[in-house]
Amino acid sequence: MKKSGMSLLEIVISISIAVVIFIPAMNMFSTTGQAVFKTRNFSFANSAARRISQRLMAMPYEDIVEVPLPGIALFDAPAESFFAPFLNTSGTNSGAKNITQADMPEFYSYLVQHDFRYSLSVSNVSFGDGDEIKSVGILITWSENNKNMMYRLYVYVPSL
Amino acid sequence: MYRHYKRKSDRFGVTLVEIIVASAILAFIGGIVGHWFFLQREYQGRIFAISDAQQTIRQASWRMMQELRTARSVLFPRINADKSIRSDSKVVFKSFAGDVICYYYLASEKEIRRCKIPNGPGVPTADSEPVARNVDQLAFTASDEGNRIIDIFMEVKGTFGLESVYLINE
Amino acid sequence: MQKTEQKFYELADSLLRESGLLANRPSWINLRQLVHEFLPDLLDTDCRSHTYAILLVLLRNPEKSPERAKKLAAIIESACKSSPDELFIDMLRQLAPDDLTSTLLPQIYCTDSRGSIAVYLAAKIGLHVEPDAFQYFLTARTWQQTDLINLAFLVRPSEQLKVSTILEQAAANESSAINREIFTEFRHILFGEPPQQPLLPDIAIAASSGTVITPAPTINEDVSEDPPEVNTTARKGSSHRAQAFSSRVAPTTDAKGKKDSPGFSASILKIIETNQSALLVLFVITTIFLVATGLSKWFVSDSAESVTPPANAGKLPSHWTDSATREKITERYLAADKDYRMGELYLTRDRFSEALILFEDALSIRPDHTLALYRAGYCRLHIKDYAGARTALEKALKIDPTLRYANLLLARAAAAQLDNKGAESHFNRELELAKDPVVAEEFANFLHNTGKEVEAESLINKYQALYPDRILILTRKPDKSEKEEQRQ
Repeated sequence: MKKSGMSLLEIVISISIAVVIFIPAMNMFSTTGQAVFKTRNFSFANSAARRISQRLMAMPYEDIVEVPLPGIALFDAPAESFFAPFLNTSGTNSGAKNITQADMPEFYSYLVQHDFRYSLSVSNVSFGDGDEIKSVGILITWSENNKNMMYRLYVYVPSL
Repeated sequence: MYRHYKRKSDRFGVTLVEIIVASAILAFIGGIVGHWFFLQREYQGRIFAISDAQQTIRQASWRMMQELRTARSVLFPRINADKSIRSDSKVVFKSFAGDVICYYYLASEKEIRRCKIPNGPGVPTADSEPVARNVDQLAFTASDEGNRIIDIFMEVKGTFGLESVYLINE
Repeated sequence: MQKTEQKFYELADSLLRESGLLANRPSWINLRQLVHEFLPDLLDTDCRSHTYAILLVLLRNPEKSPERAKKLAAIIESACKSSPDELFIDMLRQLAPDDLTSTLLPQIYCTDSRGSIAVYLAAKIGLHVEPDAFQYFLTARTWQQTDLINLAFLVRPSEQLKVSTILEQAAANESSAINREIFTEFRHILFGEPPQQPLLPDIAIAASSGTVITPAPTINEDVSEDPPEVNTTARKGSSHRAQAFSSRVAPTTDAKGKKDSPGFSASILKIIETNQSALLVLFVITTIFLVATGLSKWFVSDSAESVTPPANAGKLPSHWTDSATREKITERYLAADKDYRMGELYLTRDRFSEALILFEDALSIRPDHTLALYRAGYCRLHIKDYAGARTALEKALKIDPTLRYANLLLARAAAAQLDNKGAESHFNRELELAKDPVVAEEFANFLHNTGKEVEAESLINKYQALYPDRILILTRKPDKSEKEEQRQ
């Protein structure tokens, strides 16, 4: 029986090819999406580093000390670190809140998921007569798609 | 002669079998494409939400930081008497021009607003447009003894922003 | 008009009762005259039965006219939808073989009841077809046992063997098992014990008891002795003979069941059999679909929020990726960077020797630290270690040929070593990297002081044109006597 036009097999094969093409297309779209997620982490790391840099300006010069890698986690951070205590809506120390599962569950989840940490690389140079400068490298590290990422911000803090 | 009759059965172009198989293929392709679009729509929605949230955080932070950085002094919040940090959903400060400015968070509207408080008698005048919309959380924290630093913590749709402002004129 | 119609039916009934060829019957002339004179358009769509409709067509249209064939085909197609009566079958017998071939036989291909009725009618009027036609009939649709038996009546007895041979050959070339089985079945029927009369199809039995259009009451009254009896006999005989004729036919409880179940299962089998490759491809598509689904889910879940910390959380990794530059950062990298930054701090107070030590420290950890190399060259230039400066700066340029100001420092070092040619070359390279007016001014002054006033003027003019808002001037280097005067 002779048929005109495309055979069923031809149609099926062409559709299969079209479907196979869908997969890389999907990958391409996903890559764009992942870039947005990466930008979110990058922006957060950037803002965390800026927060530390601003604190460095106000804190006593001698208190600026080295925090070696892998650094201190932003979540469950020890007391008197840059991120603990984090909030306090009460009038006394007893109401202070930290970035913990109990106090700030959503923020905590985000930080835990990416293991956000900070380190300080401090270089102190003394020129005599109390004239000193500290070069502080603020290193924010986090994990992203099984990759260890780092954001670096360098600031100079004079003693005078 | 009878071959002529045979052709009569082909007059419709497609057979039932072809229609059934083609329908099955279309169903599969429809399934694939539909599923793919469903996932991508969901994913795209999340991407847009994150992108919008980042934009909101950036814009709001930038605007507040610009004014706070050049402020003369922070009136509220200030560090507690026991030297512990103090947070609030509003910040009041004396601007570089000498105006008393307040940024505050309206939880019911999910908006950050700005108003100017007169130095003498009178009512505060709020800006017509909010500083930011769709903000889920906002806290201003005074965190140093000299009240020179204000930390800002913001959450917009699961995206978080941290900022710290060091008052250069203090 | 009604009277004329009445007269037509009376004359038609008389004609149908008469014997012989239609055209030779006594009532034919009268009826023809009546139709042509008084009924030119009447009864076209309103005949009491298909029998009268055929009669009307024969009376009005000459033989072999296209109009006649067209109208007959329409009437026969319509008639095949209902149970035929003997009067109609008798009328079909009056038709020429050509008329039947072009009108009744195509109906055999119909997959619905029309096909069955058409075979029955063809068998009933004793129509025979050519031996090679049967293979086409048999593969055109699914066949009921009764239809196959009736189809066997269409084979001339003398051609049974020929038909069988053709079908045997066709079966050998046939890929479909269903078709092969039908061919074999039909051959068995051909050589089996045939029934005396064609069998009324089951569908016609069901239809005759239900919605079939019955002939007009006047006709029924006139021919009531025959058709009902024939029908009854055929119906009884049908079930008897069909069962007796072939043991292969599964006994069924009712006509409807007989019609549906074997046809449906056969269709399904045929679909599967004839579309094996398509089904295979469908299987592949399904697999691709599942893989695609899995992949797309993976892409989404990859970015989805999960509260669990990463596996290496809190551990010191071998390296990090810089989020801005995508550089690979190791602890050594950071240590070198720390030394480099300390060196920079010393440079803020112009303490070149201390700074140099730190830059050299950085280079001992990371010899490819371009900025440390540049700064080491800068420090060595200031402590007048020109050779050392040139080595460090050349290394830096080897790593990054586009490094700004390294060529400028090299030019200064070369000039200090009185290597004017080398200095010129480095000045030119620096200006190639960027048309910096400060560098150009320094180069012009160098040329001026080395006696190349024309080139110096040309260069200064060129850059003055490029930067009209700047004032670029040539200054002469004081010679020895001038220096002495200044000291005094």
